[in-house]
Amino acid sequence: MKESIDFTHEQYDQRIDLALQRLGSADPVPGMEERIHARLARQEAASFRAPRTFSLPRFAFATMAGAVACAAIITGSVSHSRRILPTAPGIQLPTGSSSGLGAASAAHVATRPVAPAPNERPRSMRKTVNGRAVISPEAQRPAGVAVPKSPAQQSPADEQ
Amino acid sequence: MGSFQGQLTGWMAPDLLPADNVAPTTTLDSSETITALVAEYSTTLYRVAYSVMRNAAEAEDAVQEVFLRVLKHREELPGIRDLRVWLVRITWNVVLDKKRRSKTRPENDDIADFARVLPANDRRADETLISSQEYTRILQLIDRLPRKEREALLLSAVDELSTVQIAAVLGTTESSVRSRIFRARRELSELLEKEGISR
Repeated sequence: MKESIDFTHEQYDQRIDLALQRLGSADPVPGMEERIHARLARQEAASFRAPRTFSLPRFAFATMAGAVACAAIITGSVSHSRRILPTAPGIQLPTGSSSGLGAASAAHVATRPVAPAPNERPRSMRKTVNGRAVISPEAQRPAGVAVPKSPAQQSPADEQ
Repeated sequence: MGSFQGQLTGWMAPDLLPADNVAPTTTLDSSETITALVAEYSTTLYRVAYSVMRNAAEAEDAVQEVFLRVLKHREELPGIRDLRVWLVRITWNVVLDKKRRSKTRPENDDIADFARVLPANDRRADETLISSQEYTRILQLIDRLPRKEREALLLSAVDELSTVQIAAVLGTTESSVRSRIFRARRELSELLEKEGISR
């Protein structure tokens, strides 16, 4: 059970003094100095055991890490671009490990089916007759292109 | 006297310097210097740490951390003018940082700490007049004081520190420290009067 006590102002001051005195005169657990020395010795031993590679300047590490990161980003970006490159119709030139020095005979035909031309015009519609190229009447004309009739083909009955 | 020895004379306590007529050496082993610092100041630093942490283990841990920092910056030792102030300032920063991190932990939770700060037989009889409840209550009220007043009051509790040294640790003037301590005691007394004290 707590007992409340009424002190005078001087008694409060005295209490404060006593509390501060007790707080400021706390003694450490015996053997603190030895424990401090032991910890310092451990710390020194640990610093001597540190690998020599970490003795390089941090700037060198940062530079090397930055260079490696840049190389990885560039390589990844180029690789990704090649993978998503759309296949153009026609003859597919080798893309992988070509050095760019191959002859024309080194061209390879695409292994995949060749897509139709985007203008809806089939290939091989030009046929040669007597060495001249003609357009087949079945050939599809592009939509929306008006072809006027030639006035030379009109009959005399029409002129009358 | 070598140049390094001459620098040591300036900042190191006289009793830490080599006694007798030993020929002065140009270099003093840093581990010997730190050993001397531990012997001379560890108790003072412990009391500074304890005044804030109020826990024996944490206070000792703080003192160990202080000497680890000294070890790390041992090449700066010759340039230190007042070692006591330098060490107390490091301790002060360490304990304030620790206190900030362990804000949620209750204070005075170690019953052994109470036993350790109990008055020894060689202390004055009037010291025994304050009970543990009064002591705890006053410490709680100290924690409610404004920061500047509280810090000055806590450092003033450590006998080994003069007002000038407290001012150097807190980075202020001696007169400012005196007025902070005065205000802290007055506010603490008013709090005690208002809220009472129990035994």
